[in-house]
Amino acid sequence: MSPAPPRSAIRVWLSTIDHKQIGILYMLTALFFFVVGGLEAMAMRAQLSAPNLKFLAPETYDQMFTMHGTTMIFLVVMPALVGFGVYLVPLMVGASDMAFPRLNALGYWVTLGGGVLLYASFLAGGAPDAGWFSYAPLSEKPFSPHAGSDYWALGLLLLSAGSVIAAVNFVVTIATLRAPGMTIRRLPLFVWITLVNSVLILAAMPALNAALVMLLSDRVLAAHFFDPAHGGSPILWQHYFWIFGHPEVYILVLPAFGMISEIIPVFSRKPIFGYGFVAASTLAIAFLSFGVWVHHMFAVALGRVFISVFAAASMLIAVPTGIKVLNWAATLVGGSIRFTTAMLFAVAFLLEFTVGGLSGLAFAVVPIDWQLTDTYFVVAHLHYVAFGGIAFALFAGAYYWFPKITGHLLNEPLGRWNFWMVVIGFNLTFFVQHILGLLGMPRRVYTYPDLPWWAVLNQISTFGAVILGLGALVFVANLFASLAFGARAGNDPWDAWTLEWAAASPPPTDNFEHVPPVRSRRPLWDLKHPEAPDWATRGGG
Amino acid sequence: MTTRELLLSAWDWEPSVVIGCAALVVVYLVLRGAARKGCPTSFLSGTLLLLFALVSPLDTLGDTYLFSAHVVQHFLLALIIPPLWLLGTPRSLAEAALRQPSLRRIEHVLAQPLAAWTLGVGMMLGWHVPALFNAALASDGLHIFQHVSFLITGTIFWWPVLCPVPERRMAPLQAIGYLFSACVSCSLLGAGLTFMPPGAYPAYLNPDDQLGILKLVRNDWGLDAKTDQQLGGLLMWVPGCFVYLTGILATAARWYGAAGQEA
Amino acid sequence: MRQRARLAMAMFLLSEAVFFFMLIAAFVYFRAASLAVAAANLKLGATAVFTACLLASSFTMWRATVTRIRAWLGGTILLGGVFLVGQGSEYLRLFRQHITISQGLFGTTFFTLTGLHGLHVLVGIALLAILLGLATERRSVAVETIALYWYFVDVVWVAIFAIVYLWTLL
Repeated sequence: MSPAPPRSAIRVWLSTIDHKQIGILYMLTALFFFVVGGLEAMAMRAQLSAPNLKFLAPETYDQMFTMHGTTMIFLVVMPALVGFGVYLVPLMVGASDMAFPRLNALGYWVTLGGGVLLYASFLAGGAPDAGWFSYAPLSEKPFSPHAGSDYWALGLLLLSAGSVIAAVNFVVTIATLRAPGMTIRRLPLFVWITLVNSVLILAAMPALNAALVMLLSDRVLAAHFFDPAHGGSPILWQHYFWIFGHPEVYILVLPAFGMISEIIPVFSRKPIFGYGFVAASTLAIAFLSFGVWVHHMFAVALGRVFISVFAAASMLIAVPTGIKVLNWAATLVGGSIRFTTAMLFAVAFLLEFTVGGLSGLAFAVVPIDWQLTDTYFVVAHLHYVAFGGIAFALFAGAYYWFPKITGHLLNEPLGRWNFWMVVIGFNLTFFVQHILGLLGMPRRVYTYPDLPWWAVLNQISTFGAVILGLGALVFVANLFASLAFGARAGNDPWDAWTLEWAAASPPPTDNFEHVPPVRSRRPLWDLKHPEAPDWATRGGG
Repeated sequence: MTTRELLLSAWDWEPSVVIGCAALVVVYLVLRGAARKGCPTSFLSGTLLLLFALVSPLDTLGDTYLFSAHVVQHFLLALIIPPLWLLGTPRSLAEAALRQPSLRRIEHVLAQPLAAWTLGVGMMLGWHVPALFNAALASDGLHIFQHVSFLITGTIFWWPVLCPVPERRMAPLQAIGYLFSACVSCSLLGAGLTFMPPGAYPAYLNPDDQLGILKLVRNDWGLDAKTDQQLGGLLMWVPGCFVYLTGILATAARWYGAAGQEA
Repeated sequence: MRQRARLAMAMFLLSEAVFFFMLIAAFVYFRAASLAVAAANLKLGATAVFTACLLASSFTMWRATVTRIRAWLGGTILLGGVFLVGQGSEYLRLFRQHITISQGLFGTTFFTLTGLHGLHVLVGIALLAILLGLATERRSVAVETIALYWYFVDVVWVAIFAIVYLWTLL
């Protein structure tokens, strides 16, 4: 039989059902939207660099902050994390692909479709401008007559569908395709966390879908869910959105935790401290995440007793996350630390995320929330956890797994520049925003009066943003330069322990020639250290 | 009267309850025997809590004035005392009991996860149907039956998770699903009561103020009927969930701890 | 393969269950304000009939998975179709009374909830029609998996029927 004619690269990539290629597609899409979202942020920071500027019209500014938030959450973080998951999970469990390869592809293209639909709004009369959580009645027809909010809702429905598809695939893959010997308790933490996170996605996205359907009914079919004039309830939107929205922030951060849980041990040359605690606390976070959403609504006059219970629950949910941070820190103690760029970002993650967690905990105290809600303190908090936390973990993951994905190492000197510019830029941008919030500067304002300290703090923030943006560009440059000229990486450049490092870099279509035997949580350690395998030690099996 | 006076005076030392709890303690200590097995702290705290739930001002308040107080009482009866009892029972005692053919047959049927779950959750949901709850408030006999049923079905519910004979417990992953689904049911009930307009249980709208403390409750404590129902629902919902969550995490922690012994 | 397909469908149905739960919760949330209109305009008898058809279709679906005789699949499609026709006629009757989705809280919650359910029935019928067209043995896993979806859609209708119709009219 004659060999099939070579297919063009575009045809290959457009029709692929290989999880590695789909993972790359997700990651590249996330990267593209990261640049777009970053430009939206730069536009806002430019507008805010001095009081009473007129660089952006107020209506444009509203579209910027709405699209920036929506893009970063749904078109950058979600696809990036799903991309890493889709790429790594089959490899980490010793499988040759996801359980449903074609479903995997569908999930990607639906996600891309959602992004295109969302951005098509710019061409259709204006992007959505009611904020990334689109409160009613602002988002209803009388106050948002143009189609932007419809594009927002429809785009999000597609993006949400994409997440659900990925989640279904993850659950079935992890449940049924693990290599022999890989019991649930021997799963790499990234995989376990992906499993728990997937169930969380399945439980939380539908709440968003219901809210979106209700909003579209109101807007397009003149229904009255959130329309007070006919007995509807804007508060209902808030409840429904945050019933989704709070678990969503954990959906965003849990896979990042998973990545950190893989990276810190390898560069400390120690297995993770308290595997069971990290695994169990993940379950706790998933469950608790549905019991705290009201803390986004403390200023809505729901009743003292009501919000007190949720305040207590919100403080409690800090505990499992704190347990994780302690476990990661304990892994570092006594370890033989190797500061590769991946490890630099991972350690910085610990510090930045902790700061973000503490500012979040402050919000659990209702009187503090009443002062600081909807100020720049919130903006500072969310960026510390979302950028200092999640994005730093993604940078760490990129530096760690790039060699596996491409066969090249990312350039370390460029990585150092990337790291320091991002860290300095990030902290300059967002630390001062805590102070701005305490001084009373509201969020989502397109300009501000020349009050004492407001101008200089905003200037510092904008200056930091420029450095951050340049640091991000260094990252992008590093990606492409290393692809072209980077040093070749072998299968296992970091001397790591999970199954993906047993495959070639990049892996062939079916991933493994032979899957190594799995008798512990670190199968490659056992292979490389037959004299002292994990499964022979008590507690290491 | 002031809060302090209320808390000191409103104790109802019902003889049957006091004697019953004392008898439980005596029987426990005797059956535990010289072998000194089991966890007396656990069993005794459970029994002490039972006494507290039934004789303290909690009972007085819950019967007449505050739905939320009544919720706390039922919470103890169904979710706290049975687990403490089970954790405190010595393994040998349970094994000896299960050697009796009649008890073994009963356990065989009731300890099936589906049966135990249905009984536990069903009883919780059933008693909150307004017709039944209000009837129990009106009739002393039915009320006693209600409390006893919470204790018994609570024990049945927790048996597959906390059986004193560990080998008879459910598999850990199953237990997590079992507890999680019960938690969801409890949360739904609690959330429903939180958001429903007040008056689900009309007796609490205008309590019969025999003790003269209605002003204290409504004004000093700030618990009008709406807030009271909300609080009751919230207690079922959030702290209720924490109990199940603790069970889930304890199960997960034990499961992960045992991983080291796997081949 | 069967195990994987069933697990995938179970996970998807989990998310659908949450979705319908949220819509039913919205209906219940606005129930007090919409009760009068609901009680005046919903009819138990006709709805009970097409509800019975939908429940019967679960029986025929089950038979289709057990016997693999295509007639049972056809019967399921037919009964599902009758349900949709029944629902459609109810909608028409309500429209003639000027009860639309924008009528007020009853219209809003009723049409959204039953409309989305009806959409799910329609999708189910489409899937069953595709199965009917496929002639290979491979479809047994597909039939069983889609059967799960069909039972789920039935169960959701039982909940909707109880909460929207029975709770209003009885």
